[in-house]
Order: sequence, then structure tokens, then C-alpha cells
Amino acid sequence: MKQLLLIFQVQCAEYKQNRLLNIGFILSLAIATSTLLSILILNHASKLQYQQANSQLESPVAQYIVPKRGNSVSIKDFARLRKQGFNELQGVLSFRKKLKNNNTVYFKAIDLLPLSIAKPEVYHPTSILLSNTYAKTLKLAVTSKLQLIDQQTLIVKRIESKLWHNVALLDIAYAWQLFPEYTGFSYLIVSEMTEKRLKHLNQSLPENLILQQSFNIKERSGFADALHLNLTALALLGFIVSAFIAYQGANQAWHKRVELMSQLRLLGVALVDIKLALMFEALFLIIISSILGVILAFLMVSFLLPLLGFTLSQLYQLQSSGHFEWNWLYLLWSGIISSLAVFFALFRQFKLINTKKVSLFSKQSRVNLTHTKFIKKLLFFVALTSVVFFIIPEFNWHSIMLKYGVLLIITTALLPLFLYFIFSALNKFISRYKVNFILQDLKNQISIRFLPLAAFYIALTTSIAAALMVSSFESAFIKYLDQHLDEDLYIRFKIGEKEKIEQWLSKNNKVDEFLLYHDAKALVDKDTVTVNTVNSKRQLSSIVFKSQLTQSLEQVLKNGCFINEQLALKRNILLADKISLSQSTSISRTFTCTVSGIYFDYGNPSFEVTIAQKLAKAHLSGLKEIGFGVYFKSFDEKIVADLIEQLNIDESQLYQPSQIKKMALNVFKETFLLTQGIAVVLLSIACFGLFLSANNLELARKSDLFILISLGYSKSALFIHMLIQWLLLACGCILLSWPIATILADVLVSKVLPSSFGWSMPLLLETSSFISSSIIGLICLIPALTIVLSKINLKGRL
Amino acid sequence: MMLEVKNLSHSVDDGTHGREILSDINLKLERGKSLALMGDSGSGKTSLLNLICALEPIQYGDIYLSNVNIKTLSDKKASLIRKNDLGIIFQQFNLLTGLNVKDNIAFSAKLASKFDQKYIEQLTKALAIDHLLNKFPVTLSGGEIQRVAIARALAAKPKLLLADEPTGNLDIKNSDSVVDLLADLAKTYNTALLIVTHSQQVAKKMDSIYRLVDGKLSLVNSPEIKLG
Repeated sequence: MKQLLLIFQVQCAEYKQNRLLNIGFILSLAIATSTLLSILILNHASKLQYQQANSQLESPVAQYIVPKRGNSVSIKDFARLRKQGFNELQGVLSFRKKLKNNNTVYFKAIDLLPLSIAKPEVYHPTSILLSNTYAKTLKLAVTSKLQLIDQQTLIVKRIESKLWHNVALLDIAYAWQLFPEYTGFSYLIVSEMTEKRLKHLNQSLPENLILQQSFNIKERSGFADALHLNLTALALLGFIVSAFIAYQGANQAWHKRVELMSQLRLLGVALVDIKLALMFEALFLIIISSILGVILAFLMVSFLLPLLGFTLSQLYQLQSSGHFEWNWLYLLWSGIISSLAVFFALFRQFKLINTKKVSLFSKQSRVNLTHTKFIKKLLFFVALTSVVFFIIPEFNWHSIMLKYGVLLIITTALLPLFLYFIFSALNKFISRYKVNFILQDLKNQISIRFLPLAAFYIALTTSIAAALMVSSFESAFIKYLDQHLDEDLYIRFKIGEKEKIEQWLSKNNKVDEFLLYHDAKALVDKDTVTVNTVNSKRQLSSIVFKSQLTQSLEQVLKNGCFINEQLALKRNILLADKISLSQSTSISRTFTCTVSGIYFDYGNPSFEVTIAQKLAKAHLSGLKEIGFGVYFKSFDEKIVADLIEQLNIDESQLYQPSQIKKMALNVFKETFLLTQGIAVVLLSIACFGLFLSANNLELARKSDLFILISLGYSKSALFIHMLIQWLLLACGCILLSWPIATILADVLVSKVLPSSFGWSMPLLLETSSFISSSIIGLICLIPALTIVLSKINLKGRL
Repeated sequence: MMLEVKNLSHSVDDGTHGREILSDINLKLERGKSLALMGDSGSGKTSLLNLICALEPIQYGDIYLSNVNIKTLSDKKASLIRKNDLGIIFQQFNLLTGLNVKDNIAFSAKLASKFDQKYIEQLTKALAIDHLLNKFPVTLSGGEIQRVAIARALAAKPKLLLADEPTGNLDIKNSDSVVDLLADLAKTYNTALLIVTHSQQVAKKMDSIYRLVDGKLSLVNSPEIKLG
């Protein structure tokens, strides 16, 4: 015990003596812990929120029940269906009224009772709820009254809600009471139900009602999956980078400790006591860095979680709180992460001191990179990991990520050799002695600087790959939206409305062109596909092809068809293959066509086939007319108002592709903001690791550097010497990271995305993605080297 | 017998092949006696010292400390001998940089449970380092560090004192007084003293002088020869 206390005294003295080194170590450990912890917390929080969101995503509106004719579903029909046990149904009444200020207000009436019980501070069954945003749109003064043109005055309650931002919300019973002219529902919404039950519902519907599928939901789930995959992938990368940094921190801080421990052994302290003391120190470090890690993670998560919440609210219109909720599991994770890093470094320390021979000097683990033994070992490792790389199958996105993670490890192992050879080559081309000396000295330093360089290389490579993926996604997505949503207006019609809308469109001189959209369901082998139709060049030009046959439009329209990438990948269909569309309605039908093109269909989890309208009409049954796509000569909001006014149709039947495009791009930006944020955090931490290492490693060879000063190097010359060496090393890492990042980004867009979602996108190599990530790494070296130089000036001695 | 080295041989691996640096060494040293070990640089003096301190594993032959063969000792038992019986002054001084002079000197005495405040005060006065007690090793000169290392080695009243070039950083006057002090203390406390040195002056003050040449040890001066 007395011995242990004496060793503790020496250890404490060591912490006092090398403050920067040890605080840096604890900090790097805490930061590594917190990075990984915050990614885990985000992943955990997102998982919980996804579960909640997915249930909300799937439950509210899976299908609509709309009237075949007229504008309302009667209370009697609703009651009959509920009596049959269809409790998934809810009635919605939507209508509009003219205000005294000539603006039109849209009302939506639903059953508010459950919401008023859950959130009485917001919802009330006998108030009209109006969001501040909507009040502003309606040009209403700050008042609690809504004055209609017919002099009726309604009491409103102002609310802050993104969900109800463009309607005046009220309880359905209250709506019937206030506006007796409405006696039923505009439509019924149906929650998610099994296919069997849905079929039963369809059969139970009265003659005048029809089931209609809801839009957009599944496409949104594609985005959500993409976000979740990003977070999981980043958690894995975060683990690798953090582990490297923590290990490197521990390794460096404890490097000098070998010398101290040898001195203690020399004075008669037994190895077992030294190990025990080191274990206690490790425990102390784990506790300190876990607590610090949790605090740092809390700060980081407080910043990142609202981003996640915002992303989810964009994806699902889900009101996510986005605040940090403590879970005791987090402390456990934190402890595990710090323990792994500390004990891993500690075991190396044990290995170093656990020798019969007591070395009185700590030796830097300098490896001769040209030594045959080292090269043999390295090549053996590379050969072994290459075999692993080639044998890992690419059957799902996890295995693909694992496979290319192995590639990253192989290149990391080859990094010192790569650096050695490029600097040797540079050495041969440069004849100036001073530069040659810098390179020669640098080559000798590569092995001891390997760990920080490896962490920097991994973080940089993944950060560039993430940036490339995001920029590729952005450019591909914008192009896709521009082509896909190029109409000015899309009008969905109910039964009986087609003719009057068509007539209005034909007569309106502002309309440039309008197209009638059809769709049908069919089977390709066992997969259900949606068959879309085209009947104009404009429609064809809206398709973004991944690959297509060089055929004339006439030929394609005669017997060709286009399929989306999802179907091509699932069924392994290539261009010029023939596919059979079969339908088993009253008469069994099969139509065979040649695949003339495969098109991108980002975010859509279902399969699609597009054929000429004529072919569809001739060979397929159950072809439904679903709506009109309209191109105007000049489009403005007044056209929408005229349409609603003159044709008496509901606003929910009109879609403005430009708005959908804007919303989709917003969702996209928010989705990947988090990914980019975390990638930047990871890179910054790797740079912090590089900063600490530059500082520690240069301090460790202070005596060598001081010799240079004694031989006539000025302070500025020494600074340039160190800076050039680190810059060259960082540049070497950058040089290797660029091609590897390109490979990884290509794998992400061309293999991981299709494997997880069934769709891919073309890779866009944007220079800014390479440059911005690389520059951050270089900038952090300057302050690190300045600290070292100032230390050499103050305390330098031979 | 405090120290007995029997047929000791030792080789080092220089990367390509083994090189024998100590060959069939035999040596005896009793308590209260002193011995100087001389030899050219690289002749194996420090390696022999390391082997005696059980800092390196013995390859061939045996070393006995207080009649205990250290070849087969576990690390714990070897540490116990170093702690209780040996005082070591090495070329590189090996002071604990985090501790001040006072704590450095007290460290090994406390470790061996032989801390004696009065004795340490005498020691520091005799070595003229009593004014440096609160200073840290990084602020001391080479000579001061060496004297602190000597004080630390003597603080635990070892049975065998091993010193590797203890006067290497000292001027002649200081060197003489330090060696005299070491020799006196060895006599007073019945301590065996083994000094590795290049200095004839230092060697002459010891009871016997051995020389290592090409790994072979030979007695070059015994008390009888010296007296004669």
C-alpha cells in the first residue's frame, strides 16, 4: 500500500510536470468519447424518433374514401362503416369561406376531442384554431376574431403550429353547429391496414364511395431511410476515427511513462505494483474522460439534436421536441468507449514495460520502413486483408460498407510506405541540400507519426466521400426534380369531374398544353408494378434516363417500354430485354414489351413501368385516369384561385410541382445538413488529434530540434523546417485520400444506395468537396507548431 | 559474500548476428570493500552493472547477491533486492523529474522503509546539496544532479552500492570529495561499493581494480599490489 501511494505521488507529479501533454491526452480521450457518444445518442434518439415517426407516417392517411359524385360523404355512410368495425376511419370536412377583407379562408374540421385531451393548452373543441403564419397570409390584424363576408363573426384562438400552418382548424361537430349548410364529410381518411382488411373495406363501401390511395408517404420513408443509413454509417466511421485518436493520445501521453516506470523498477518497485498503479490511473482516466465526454457530448447533442428534430419534422411533419433526454445507457456507453481506448493503450504500455530487461530510456517506436522484415509483415497484412476484401460478398449495404471499410484499412496500412516512397522520389529530384535534409529527416519520422496521420487520413477520406455523396445527390436530385416536376400544375379529379376540368382547360387561353395521366397495376414476374403512360414528347423529356437504347421515339412508342431503376435492379433486367406485364382481372392478360430505357426514380421504393398511352389502352385493363398535368403560358396563383372558384373543386386536388420541388429540396437540404455537420465534426476532431500529435511529437524530439538551433538554425528556419515536414505529410495523406474517397463515394452512390433503397445516382466529382475538407486539416497545423516552437525557445536545452 | 559473479557470459544481438560482450566473468566483493571496474568505452562495463542489478536477464553463468542467485528470481523478488539491498547511481542519473530534490532523495528510503530524516540531512550537507532541496531536477546543473543521485542511492543505506561513472560530470575537487564520501560511507555502513570509472584517480581509492578488455575481466590491482 505504501509503495502504491509512493507511485501515485510520482504519477501526480508527472501530471503536474507535463500538463499540456496530459491534459491534451485527457481532452483527446474525452473528445473522442464524446464524438462517438454523441453519434450514438443521435442514432439512438433518431431510432426512437423514427419508430414514433414511422408509426405516425403510416397511420394517419394510408387511403382516402371519396365520394364518386358530389362533394360529400354522408354521416349515415360513415356511421354504417364504423358499425361494421372499421375504426380506422376518420371524417374530414374541408370548406372555404370568403372573409370581409376579400381573402378566402380554408377550414378543416376533424375530430378534435382526442387532441384537446392530449394537449388542452393548444386544442379546444369549441374554438377555431388559426396559426399565426396563416393569419398573416390572410392579412388579419392581431385580433381574436374572424369576420366573414356575410357578417358572421367567429372567435379564433391563435396557435403556433407548423402542422396546421395553412388552414383554420376546428372540431367537426363545432363546424356543423357553426355552419349548418354542411351536414357530412368531404372525405374519410383511412389508417394503415392489412391488404385483406382493405379489400374487405373496399367491398363494404356503399355505391357512391370509392377508395383512393394516398400520395407521397412512401417516398418520404425513402428519405428517412437515407438519413438513418447516413447516421449509422457515420457512427461506424466515428468509431474508427475516435478510437484512433484516443489510442494515439494514450500512446503519446504514456510513451514517456515507460522511462518513469523503468526508473521505478530500478529503485526496486515490483512490476506488479507498477501495473496496479497504472490500472488505477487508467480507471481514474476512464472516470474523468467519461464525465468530460458526457458533458461534451451533451453540448454537441444539444446543437445537433434540434437539427435531427427539424429534419424529422420536415420529413414527417412530425413535431419533434429535439431536446436531449438523459438515458443512463449513455454513461455506460461512454465508460465502454473510454475503457476500450485506455485499456488498449494500457496493454501496449504493459507490453513495453513487461520485459525482463529494464530499459532506462523510452524509445520511440520507430520502424525502419525499408527493412525487409517490416515490408514482409506489411505485405502479409495487406495480402490477408485483401483476401478478406475480395471474399466479403456484397449482399446488403452492411456487407458493402464492411467490405469497403476493409479497403480503407488496407490503404491506411499502406499509408507510411506510400509516404516513404513519394518522399524518396522527391528526394531524388531535388538537389538542394537543405530540402533534401528536410525530406531525409521526414522519412525517418514517418513511422512515429503514423497514428495521427492515419486518423487524419481516415477522417479526411470519409469526409470527402460524404461531401461527394451529398453533392452528387444534390445535383442529381435537382436535375431529376427539374425534369420530373416540370408541369406548372397537376390536377387530380374525382369521378364526374374530368369533363368539366378538361373543358375549362381547353377553353382557357393561358393553357399551353395539358396531358391526361393514367395508371394501372400489373405484375412483372411476382412484383407488382405501377404502369404509367406517356403520350407526348414533353412527358418523355421529363424522364431522367440512366441508360437507354438509341431508338426513335416512334419505335419506342410502338412496342418499347421504360422501367425504373428499382425494377431493373430487383429483376436484373437489362436494356433490350423483354418483360411481360401480366394482369389477372376478370380476363387474364399479358403484354410483352422491350425495355428501351431505364430511368432514375430517387426515393421511390415501388416498381414502375412506363409505356405509350396507346399501348396501355390496347393491352391493359384497369387503366385509371388519375389527373391532368398542365403547362401554362404564364402561371400565377390567380389561376389556382380561378380554378377553385369556377370549377368548385377542393384545394387538396391541386398540386403545384414548383412547390413540391421547393419542399423536396428543403427536405433534402435538412436531411443531409446533419450528415455534413457530423462529417465536419469528425474531421475537426481528427484535426485536433493532429494538432495534439504535432505538438507532442515535436516536443518529444525537442533535443534533436535544439541541436539544429545550436548548429545555426534560426527560430524561423526551424519553424519552417517543422511546418514543411508536417505539411508534406498532410499533403501525402491528402494525395492518397482523394482517389480512395472517390472510390468510397462511388461505392456509396452506386452500390450502397441501390442495395439499401433500390435506387442509385450518378457520381459527381466536385472540386470544392475535395479542397474544402483538405484545407481544414492543413490550417490546424500552424498553431500546433507555434506552441512547440515557443516551448523550445523558452526551455530549450541540450 | 555480498556479490559473487560466476562464469558470466553475455551476448547482444546487433540485428545481423550476436556479439559476445562479456566472456566468462568471475568476480567477488565482500561487504565493507570497494572495487573499481575500468575499461574502454563499449567494453561491457555498464552491461555487467545492469546484470548485477537484475535489470537484464542473465544468459550464461550466475550472479549471487547476499548468497542468493538472482538468475532465477521473479521480478517481485528481484525488485525486493534492488529496493532493500542495492543503491544504484547511473550515468544518466535517472532522477524522477516530477519530484523535487527532497522527495527524490526520500523516495527510495521510504520505499525500503528505511527513511531516516537525520541521516538524509547529514547526507545532503556532506554532498553540499542541502540548499537545493525544494528545487526540481530540470533546474539543476549536471554536477548538482549527480550529487542528488548519489544522495538518493545512499539514503536507503544499501548493502551494495553500484555507481556507473559517478564523477563523470564533476570537477576534480568535487570528484575527490564525492569519492571519499562514498568510500567512507561504504566503510561506515559496511556497504560493498562497485564503481565503474575511467579515472585512475578514482580507481586508486578503491580496494581493488579490475579491467574489462574485449569482454574479459582481469584483476589489475589488488591491495597488495597497490601497497607494494
